Amino acid sequence: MAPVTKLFAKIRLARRQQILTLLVAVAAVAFPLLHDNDADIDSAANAAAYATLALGLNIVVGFAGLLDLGYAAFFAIGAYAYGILTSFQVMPHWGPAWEPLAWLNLVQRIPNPDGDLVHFSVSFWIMLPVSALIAAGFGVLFGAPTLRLRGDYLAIVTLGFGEIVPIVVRNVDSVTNGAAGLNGIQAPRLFGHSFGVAAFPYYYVAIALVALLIFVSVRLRDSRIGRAWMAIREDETAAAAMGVDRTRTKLLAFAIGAAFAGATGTFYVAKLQTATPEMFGFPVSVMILVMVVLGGMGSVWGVVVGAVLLQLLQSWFLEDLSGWIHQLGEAINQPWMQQIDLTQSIELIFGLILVFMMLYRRDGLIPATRKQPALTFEQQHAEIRRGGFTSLAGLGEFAHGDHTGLEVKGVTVRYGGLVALNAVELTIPAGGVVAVIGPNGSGKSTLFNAITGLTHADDGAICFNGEELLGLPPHQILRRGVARTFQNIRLFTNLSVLDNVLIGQHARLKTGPIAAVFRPPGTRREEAAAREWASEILALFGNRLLPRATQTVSHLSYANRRRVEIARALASRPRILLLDEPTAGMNPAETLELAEQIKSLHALGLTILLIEHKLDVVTRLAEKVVVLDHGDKIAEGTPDEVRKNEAVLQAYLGRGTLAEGMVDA
Amino acid sequence: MPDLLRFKDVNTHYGDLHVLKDVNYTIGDGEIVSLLGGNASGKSTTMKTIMGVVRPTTGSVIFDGVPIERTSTAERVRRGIAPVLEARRLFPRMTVYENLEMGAYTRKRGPEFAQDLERVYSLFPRVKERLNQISGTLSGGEQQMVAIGRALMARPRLICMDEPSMGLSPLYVEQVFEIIQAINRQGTTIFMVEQNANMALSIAHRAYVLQTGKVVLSGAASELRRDPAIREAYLGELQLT
Repeated sequence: MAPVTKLFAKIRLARRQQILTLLVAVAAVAFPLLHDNDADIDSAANAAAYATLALGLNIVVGFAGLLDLGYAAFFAIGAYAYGILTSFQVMPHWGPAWEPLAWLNLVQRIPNPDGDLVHFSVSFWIMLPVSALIAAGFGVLFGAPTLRLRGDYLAIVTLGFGEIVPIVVRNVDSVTNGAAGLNGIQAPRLFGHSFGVAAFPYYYVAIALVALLIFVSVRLRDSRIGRAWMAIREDETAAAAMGVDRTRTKLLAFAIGAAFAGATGTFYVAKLQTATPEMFGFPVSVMILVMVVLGGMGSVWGVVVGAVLLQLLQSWFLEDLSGWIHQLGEAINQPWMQQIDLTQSIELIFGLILVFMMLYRRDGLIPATRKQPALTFEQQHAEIRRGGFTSLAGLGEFAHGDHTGLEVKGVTVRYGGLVALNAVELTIPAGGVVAVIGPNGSGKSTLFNAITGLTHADDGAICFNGEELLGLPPHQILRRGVARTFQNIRLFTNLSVLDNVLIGQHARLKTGPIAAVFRPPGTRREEAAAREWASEILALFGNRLLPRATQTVSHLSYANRRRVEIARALASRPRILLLDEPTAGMNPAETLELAEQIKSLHALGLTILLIEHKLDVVTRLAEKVVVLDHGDKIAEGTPDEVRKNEAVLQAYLGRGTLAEGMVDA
Repeated sequence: MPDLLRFKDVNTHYGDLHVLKDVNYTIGDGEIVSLLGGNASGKSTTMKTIMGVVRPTTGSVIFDGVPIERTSTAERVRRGIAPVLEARRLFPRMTVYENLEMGAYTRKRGPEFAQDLERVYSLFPRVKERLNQISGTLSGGEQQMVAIGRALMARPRLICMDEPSMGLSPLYVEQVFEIIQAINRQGTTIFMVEQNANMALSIAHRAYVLQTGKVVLSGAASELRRDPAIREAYLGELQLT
C-alpha cells in the first residue's frame, strides 16, 4: 500500500482530485450493478437526494453565511408543485381554454358524467426545472423582507418560514389534501416507460442530479458570484464598500439554494409517489443543516459526504449495528441488549456526532479552507524597496483627472447626542492629495464613513464629479470610483490574498450566475484578465504579497494586511482613494516605502484623501492638510502652515513634538 | 539580573509555514526589552507564543525558571504575564471599570484590588474620569490607556505589549511611552513589540532585532540606536525621494 500512496502523493493536486472524482463517479454508477438489493439502492437514492439538499443549503449557509433554519420549506414547495400538477387532487372543469395544454401533453381530459374534468399530467422532466424556478421565486419572496437581518435574527425568521409552509400545506385541503397528503403522484416516464417502483432508475436520476449540482456549486464558488457570497459571509460592510450589492447577492444565494431544494422536492415525491406535510418539518431542516456542518460548511464535496454518511447511517448502519448488539446480547445472555434499537435514537446519535465534531473537527470532514502552504526563506524574506513604482498599466485611464474632484459641504453626523462631525467643509481637487489629521476620536473615520455611504449623514452634501453621493448605497459609491481602506482593517479574513483582491474588482466585472456556470469564452477571458490585474497590483509590493497570494489573510502580518487592503481598493480601479492610516503598524523604514508607493499612485493620476498620524508622511505627501478636533474643522492649509497653527499644537501635536523634532512619530 | 523570561530554540509553524526559527530571547527581571523587525518577521508571533495563543513546535518558553510552553493562556496570566494586545482589544461593550475588573479576573478580590485600582487611576487620571463609559466609545488613545490599565490589574511581573503606540496621535504616543517607563520604574518587566523604533529604543534597556523569523542582532538599546544598519533598516534615515 505504501508505494501506492507515495506514488499518489507525487501527482499534482488538481490531477489527484480529478482521479478521485472519477473513481467516486465509477463507484456510484457501478453500485446498483454490483449490489442487487432494491432496499439498499433505494436508501442510496435517498442519500443522494439529501446530498442535493445539502448542496443547496451549503450555498446559503456555507458560501453566503446566511443561517437558514427553514430550508425544508423550499423542499416542500418543489414537492407540492410536482405533486399538485400530476396527482388527481386539483381537477378543474374542462373548457376549450385547456385545449392547447392538452396538445402539449400537460393536461388530460377526463370524462365525467357531471362534465369533463382536467387532470394535470405535467412531465417529471419539465417539472424538475420548473419546480426549481418556483422554489427560487419563493426564495426571493421570503428573502426580500428578511435578508436585511443578520445572524441570529435571520435564523429566527427563516425558522418561521420553515413552520409556515407545512402549516399552509396542512390547511389548504382543497389543493394539498391537508394532513392526509397527496396520493397517486405520477412516477416519471422515460421513452414511454414508467419508472414505477423499482429503485434503480431513481438512483441514477438522483446521482445525475448530485453530479449536476456539484458541478454548478463548484463553478459558482470559483466565480465572481461565489467570491461575492464569501465576501458577505466574511464582512458584509466591507463587501458593500468593495462594490458588492448586498441585497441582490444575498437574494441570489437564497434563490439558488431554494432552486436546488425545489428540484429535489420534485424528485423525492416522484419517487415516493406521495407527499405529506410531515415530510418537510423542522427536523428535516435541522438534519440538512447537520449534514452541512458535519461535511464542512462551504465545502462542496464535504457536504455531499456529510449527507450520504448521515443518511446511510440512518438506513443501513444503525439497523446492522442494532442487529449485532442483539446477537451479542444473545451470545452473552444479556436480555436487555435485545431491547436496544438504535434507529429509535437517531436524534441522540446526530446530537452526539455534532458535539463530537464541534469538539474535535470544527471545520467538518472535508474543510473548505486550505492548509497554509510552506514558503521558502527567499519568499518569506522581504527587503525595504525604495522609490515607489512608475507604471501600473491596469489602472487605465480611469484614474486620470477627468473628474471634478470631491466636495464635502457642511456635513454633519450625529450619533445620538454626540456630534461626530459638525458642518465639515472639505474640497479635494482632481489629482490632489489631501490629508486629514486630528486627535483620536476627532471624527476622521466618521468623515470617511460618510463619504463612502457607511454612515448616515444628518446634514450637508457630498459631491463627487458633480454627482451627489449622500444617500447612495456603498456599492454604488464604489462604482463611481471612490474606494477606501479601513482604520481597523476589514479584510475578508478567511479568504486568500488573491481572492481579497479579486473581490475588489467585483464592480468592474460582469459575470452573472449563468455565465459563472457555463463559463463562455468571454467569462474565461474576463476572469483571466482579473487575475492578471490582481497579480500586477500584488507585484507593486515586491515579494511581500505575491508569494503569499494563495495564503489566508488571517495569517498575514499586520502591515501586510494593510497592504492587501490597499491592493483590494486599487483593484476596483478607483478615481479617488481614501486611505485610513495606511502606515499604522509599520516601522519608519516601511512607512517611507509605503509613502513612496502612495506618491507613485498619485503620480499615476489617482486623487488621494489620507488619514494619517505620522506627520512625516503627511508633510511629504499632502498638498493640503485639514485638522479635525471633536468633529470641528479647526485648521486647514499647507502642512507647514498647519504645523505652526496654535490650535493644532494644543489639540494634537503637543509642544514637545515640535521642539524635539520628533515629527516622524 | 536574574532571568524572568527565556525563549530556548523556539520554532513555530502556521500549517506548513515556518515562522519563528530557533529563536532565543532572555528578558531580565526589571528590564524594558524591545523587539524590532520588519513586518512579517515574527514579532506578533513571538507575543502570541508568550501568551500561549500559538504553541511552539519545538523549543521551550521558560518563565521564572519554569517551562510554560504547555500551559494555557489563563495559567500564564495567573503566573504573572499580562498582555497588552495589538489594536488594544478591549471588551468594547463593557464599561471602563468592567474592563479593569476583568484584568483582575485571575485574582481574589481583596484590599489589593482597591490598591491596584488606585495605582491605575494615578497613572491614568483620564481613565478615572471615564469609569462608567462603554469602552468601545472611547477614542483610540483612551482605549490604549484602559488596555494598559487592564494589564496592570493582573499584578503582572511581565507585561507583553504588541504595538502600544499604533494608531495614536503624536500627543498620545509620547504619553504612552512615558507611562511605560513609569510602570517599569515601579518594578514591572516590559517586553514590547513596537514599530516606532526611535521611541522604543529610547526607553528600552535592550533590544532584539528579528528578521524573517530569526534573531539577527541583539544588544543594549543605546548601541543599537547608533548602529548604522539599524538606522537605515528600521529608523528610516534615508530621505524620501
